[in-house]
Amino acid sequence: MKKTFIIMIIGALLLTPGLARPAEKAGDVVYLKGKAVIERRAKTVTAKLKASLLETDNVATKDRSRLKMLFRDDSILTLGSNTKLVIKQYLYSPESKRAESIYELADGKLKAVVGGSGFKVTTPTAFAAARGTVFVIWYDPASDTTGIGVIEGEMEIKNIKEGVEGTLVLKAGQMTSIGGNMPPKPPQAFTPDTGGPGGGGPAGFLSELFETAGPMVEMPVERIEQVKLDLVEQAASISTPPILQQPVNVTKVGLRLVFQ
Amino acid sequence: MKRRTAPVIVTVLLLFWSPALGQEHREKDYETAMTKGTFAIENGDYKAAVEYFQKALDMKPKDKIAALSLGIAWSRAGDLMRAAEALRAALSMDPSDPRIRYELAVVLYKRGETAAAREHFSTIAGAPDEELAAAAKTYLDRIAAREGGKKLSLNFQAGVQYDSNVILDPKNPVVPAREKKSDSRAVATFDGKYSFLNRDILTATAGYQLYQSVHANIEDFNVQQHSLSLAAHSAFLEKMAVGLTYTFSYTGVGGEHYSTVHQIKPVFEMKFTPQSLTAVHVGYEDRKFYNSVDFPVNTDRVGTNVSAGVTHTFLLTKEIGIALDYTFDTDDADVNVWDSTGHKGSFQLQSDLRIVTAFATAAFTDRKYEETSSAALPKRHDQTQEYGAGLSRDVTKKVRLILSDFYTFNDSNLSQYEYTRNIVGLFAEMRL
Repeated sequence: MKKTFIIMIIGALLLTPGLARPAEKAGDVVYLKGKAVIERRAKTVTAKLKASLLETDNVATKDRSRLKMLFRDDSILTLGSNTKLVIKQYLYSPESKRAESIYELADGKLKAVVGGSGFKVTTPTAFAAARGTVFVIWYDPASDTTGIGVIEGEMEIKNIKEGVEGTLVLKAGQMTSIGGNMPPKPPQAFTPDTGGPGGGGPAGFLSELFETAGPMVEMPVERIEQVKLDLVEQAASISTPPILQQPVNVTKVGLRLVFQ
Repeated sequence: MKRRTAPVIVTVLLLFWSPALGQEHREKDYETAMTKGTFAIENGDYKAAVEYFQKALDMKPKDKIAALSLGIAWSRAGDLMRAAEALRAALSMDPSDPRIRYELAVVLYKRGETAAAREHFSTIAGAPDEELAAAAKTYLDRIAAREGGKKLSLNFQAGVQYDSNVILDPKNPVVPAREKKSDSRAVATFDGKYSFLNRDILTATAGYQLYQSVHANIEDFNVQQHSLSLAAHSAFLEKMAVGLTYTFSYTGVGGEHYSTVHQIKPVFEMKFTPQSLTAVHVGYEDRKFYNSVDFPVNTDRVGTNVSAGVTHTFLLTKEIGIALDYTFDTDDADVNVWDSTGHKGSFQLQSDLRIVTAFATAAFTDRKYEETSSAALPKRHDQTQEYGAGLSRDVTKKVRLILSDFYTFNDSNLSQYEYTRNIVGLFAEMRL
């Protein structure tokens, strides 16, 4: 009876959705410049190169920092400095190598290279869906404005608030902005030199997202170095005469005893 | 036939001539190839990295980052010729890029083209990128060490000691001791090392060492020792190294040949933390002793000694270093009364107190002899305690003074082997 009860409890725990599906690996950190942190289950750890990213992770970059993530479906997200991103959902099918993913950009800017999967990104004001697209998106909390610029492919954009009507299909070379309770503004021409947020900020605001870095600098390998107590070694080397000495008259007597 | 061919031709023409179609995913594919290549490098999969970066370069033949990345991938894969080729191509795209210049310099350094490497590193050492500048400086230091580095190092020491028990007179001698057992002496040592091989991961040195003591009274205990050594050390991995030292020592006491020792000492070093070094050491000694008036049965001790142990040295703070050692050894002598096994544990501490550097040592040895010299006596069992302490002060950059005191207490179950010894010394050391 007791056994059955335990089995039932274990079964119930396994069937509970939150417990049955542990957070899946979504991707890896493939480039890191400066500092970034990963918040996972209320714990914050410093992001490191090659660190795994899980569904529900919060990733935040610090000032003058950049972090690039490669996801399992080949999507690539580059976060600029002072950016906060939440991996809201990442459902990956190894068979089809496709994912259904939702990311939430809470602050800052990111560049996304979307694989063939269903890719959605939200900000406090915008909802954007893309497939096979390269785009940048930025959100400025101060003006409560989201800016989106498409580099390759196209994407659908609308205000995240359900009551706000209007969906915009943005094509390569176009950008828009969505603020507060407004629908997306009509498309404008977009280049990486475009200033943000909302296209009205300082020029080069997005430039850090377009810097191709290449592999990290390999620092010269620190070969094993001696950790020595040089003074002790030196002093010990002259502490006693370097002969394998035995009590001298005992040696003589020892022989005498043997012969007696 | 014609109906089938026409659509194919149209499709092909569209594919080749329509820029929109041809470039549809150019940025995405380029970015994907670069990112995957970068990740492959970080994972050590250089072959895959080469393929990804080549793909990226094919998409953007004038992209300096793709060319740089390809060069890095070849370099880390070990194909230095292709690496140099790719990096030179990248540098021609932007001669002012310090990163490309740095990677090319690394490849040239690895190829042994140190003069060219030095030129590139020198340019980068002043670059605003601190990380790159620091790395370049490290390489410049290595080149300096390799090319013009100190090949010969000389060390002289001279000083005076007061020894409370020169002859190791026991507390309870079987026969009366000499009239005088304590004495003062002058000691001079010379240590010369010549580095005849100084590669990135392999160094080799030849050394000569001289020890000479001159007693004020007990002249027949004046010691002269000549040691020749050959040592090789290879830091073959980032955190591992091996070393091998051969030493030949000739010792004379009181003007007569006392001993000749050949020693081979391999060592395996591991660095578990940046501030520590763990060394597993073994040793083999072939010892020959010679009889003289003062040591008439010295040849009884001719034999071999085998030892094995581990030393862990670590820096507790930047100023305090500690070394812990355990060594097991066994003596196998021609006359088996001298056969013994010993266990020695020791502790050493060195602390930089700014004005002076202080040190303290303590060691305990338990040595059991395997045979007795007489059926009436138990087997000898010694327990030796050794303590030392001292101070040193740098007088100039090359000269320091060392004041030390070493105390030994040998406790034995055979009272005639019990002795104490205290040696106080003041030395000047000159490093050239």
